[in-house]
Amino acid sequence: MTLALRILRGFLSLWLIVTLVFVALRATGDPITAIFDPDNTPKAALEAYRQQWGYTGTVFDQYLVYISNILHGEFGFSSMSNRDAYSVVMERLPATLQLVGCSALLMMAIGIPVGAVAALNSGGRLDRFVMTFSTVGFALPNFVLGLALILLFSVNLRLLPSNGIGTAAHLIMPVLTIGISKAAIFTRFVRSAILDALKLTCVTSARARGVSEWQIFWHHVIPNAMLPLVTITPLLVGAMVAASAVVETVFGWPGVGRLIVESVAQRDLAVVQMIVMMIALVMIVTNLLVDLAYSKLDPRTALAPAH
Amino acid sequence: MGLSMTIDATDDRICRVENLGIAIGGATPVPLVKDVSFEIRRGDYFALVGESGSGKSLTCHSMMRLLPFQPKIDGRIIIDGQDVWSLNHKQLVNFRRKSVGMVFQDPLAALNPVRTIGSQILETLKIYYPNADDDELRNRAIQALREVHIPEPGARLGVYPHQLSGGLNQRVMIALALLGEPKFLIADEPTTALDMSVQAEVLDLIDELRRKNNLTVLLVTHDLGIVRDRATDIAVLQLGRIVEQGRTAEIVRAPKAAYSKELFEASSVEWPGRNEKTRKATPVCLTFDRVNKTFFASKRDRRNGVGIPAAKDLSFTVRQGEIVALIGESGSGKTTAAKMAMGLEKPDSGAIIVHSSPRDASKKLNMQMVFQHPRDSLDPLMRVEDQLHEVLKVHGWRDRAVRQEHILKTIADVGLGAHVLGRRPTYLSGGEAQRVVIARALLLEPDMLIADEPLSAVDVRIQKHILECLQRLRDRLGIAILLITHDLRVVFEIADQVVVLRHGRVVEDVPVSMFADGARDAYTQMLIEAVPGKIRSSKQGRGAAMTAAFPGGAAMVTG
Repeated sequence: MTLALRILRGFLSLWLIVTLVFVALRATGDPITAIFDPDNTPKAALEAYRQQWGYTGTVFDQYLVYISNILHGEFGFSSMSNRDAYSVVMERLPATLQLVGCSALLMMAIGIPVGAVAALNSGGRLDRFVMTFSTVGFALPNFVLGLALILLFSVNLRLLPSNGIGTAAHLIMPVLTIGISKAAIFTRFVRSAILDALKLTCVTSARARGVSEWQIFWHHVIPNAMLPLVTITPLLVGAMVAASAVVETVFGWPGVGRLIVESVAQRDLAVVQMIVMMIALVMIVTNLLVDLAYSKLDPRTALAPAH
Repeated sequence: MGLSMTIDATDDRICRVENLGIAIGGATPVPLVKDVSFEIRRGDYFALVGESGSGKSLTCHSMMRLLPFQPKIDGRIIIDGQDVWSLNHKQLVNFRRKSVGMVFQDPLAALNPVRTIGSQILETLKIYYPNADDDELRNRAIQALREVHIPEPGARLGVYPHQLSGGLNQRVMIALALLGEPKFLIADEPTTALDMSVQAEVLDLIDELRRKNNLTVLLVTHDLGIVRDRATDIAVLQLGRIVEQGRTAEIVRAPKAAYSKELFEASSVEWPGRNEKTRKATPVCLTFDRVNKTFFASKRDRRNGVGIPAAKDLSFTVRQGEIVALIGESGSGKTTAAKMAMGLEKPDSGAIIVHSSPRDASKKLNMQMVFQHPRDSLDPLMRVEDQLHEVLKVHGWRDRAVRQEHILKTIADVGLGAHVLGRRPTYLSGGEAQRVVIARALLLEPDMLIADEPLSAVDVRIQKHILECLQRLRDRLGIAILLITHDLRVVFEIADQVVVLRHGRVVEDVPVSMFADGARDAYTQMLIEAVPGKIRSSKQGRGAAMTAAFPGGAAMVTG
């Protein structure tokens, strides 16, 4: 498939997600009556808010207005802060991207070497140790791990700030929380990918030629093991974005994860839609990059030349 | 046991395996190979033969210490003066680099799919020439590919294994194995995954390198035809033990062990003795009339008309009570023809006429298909009996007793006992499974069977049983069989009519007697020449002439 077609498909997914979220949010009840008590608010006031936030007419009418506004670069107004939803989200997005990005790096920094060591000692004591910890790691809910870290580093050792953003020190615990829990899963994937690659005949045949174990590992095992890992990475990044909702709340991290929790609670639909759209965009771009990386890593699946 | 141990100590034996035992498992090890001893002298072409599960691959992998598990080893393996299992890691790597080269069954799997041919050769060359610069290494790589007769070796360095044909990949693999100039080459089923004419080319190459480089070859194979043609010595393995060994000529002439007798009989090619030069005049079951079919790799190719032809003006007929063999190499369009006959693929143009049933003109001809891999076409969770009942139930057979009677009769038709009915497919041997599949096809009393490579997944002795089964169906029940195969030995054994396909075209359509004696088409002649195990009148002459006409496995660039 050509690159242009893939990008087009990405936009199609984006449109589908936006539409689904739009309909789902409106299908769960009138947002105005959820925000204001209809019995104690004048009808005229309710109507005025409807006008202001674009909740007039049928869902389909609202949808058409919404889409046309998006195409003009207007994403609606936040009912919570009475500001442009776009700027409300955009000022929070970098914090989340920073959190997820650092967590992804931590996940790989832990997962790849630990998974490799486990695979190379498969069945051994080290392997069993790693696998046990991995199970604990992904069975542990994020908020438990987060609270445990706060208890240890903030309350007892008084080394790290428990809350907020600003310095590198603020970043450490949220990143540890997300990174460790995802590394627990990623380690297993790395381990099984490397175990599978070790069984390949091309590895045996390199060994039969007397290629050194070091070269076999880096030139034959790793390139083949990369393929399944590249496929699951965007799934894990998606899971990290989902985890950020809880973790940002625990650590008072001002990102979109916390924003979406608050916005859903307050039925601030414009902001929820904006966040979903941005997250979807990030995921689609990640997927696209992964597809491109995959075709570079595996010559058998190279994209058709676009001439 | 076997050879006497009194050979002179100034050793011409490059390899000695002494009472080798291989077992797997901890406290109570399961023995896989038991008390295997043999010796290979310099210059020998030693064949280790046996069916799947006989331990031949284990034995040869243990000679390189390449077993996929931690084994318990008994006895000794001494190669090139080194006791293989007592070497330390450094010595072992050195041993693998200098003393032995190894070639594997599936060349595509044995090469790293995500790295170019060139980078894999250069990586290995750097071991031997650590101080050489890039230009020198590249030249050496090109030289190595030239040694194994790869056309345009320079350009091949930049391609990936999946862009080359199986034959070329195996040549690359041989080149890789010989980079360190070992004197001993272990080839583990090197041609099993290849087409027969390509197989002959690769084996010829090994022969040539053997002469030129003074190589000793250990060939692991289940193909006794190859052994008879090329090997100087044989050891026959059965269930992890050697049942017979000695010089090839002697064993071929008079095999002593019952098992090797059976193996050789099963693998011998019987030149068809039938004399009918004309076809039977029975009613026609299936007609292909100028059928065309082209596959396109992409929409762009379709627009530009650059396709892979699977059928070009394909015309042939199948008559009642005859076995028509559709032969050709992979990619020649055999399977597409079968799929079109079954209606699973639509032809682009031309007509495929399925005639009315020869037994009852008012009925449509009933056609059934038998697939290549019997285990894949049986449900692993259902007992054989239930699977057979299911087929009949779907077709409206209500009465269980009637069904049971019919099933018993059909199972007997394919030469199986009623005991297989209660089993699940896992507990069937390959041959039993394939016969169950055939029985399932026969339940609906077809007039015609289409069998797509029904023998390629099973061992020689079992092939014999299935062939007998097909023959019985033809002779007793008058069923027409369209047999798709790439194995000419099967054709000689049972076919009546032979249709040879090449690039989707029929190049030969003759009764088998005429086919064997003097096929006129050059391609067919090459196929016949490539059959291992038949006595060739002139061993030389073929190589040059044939390779010129059909340059060895031209590169197949996909994607």
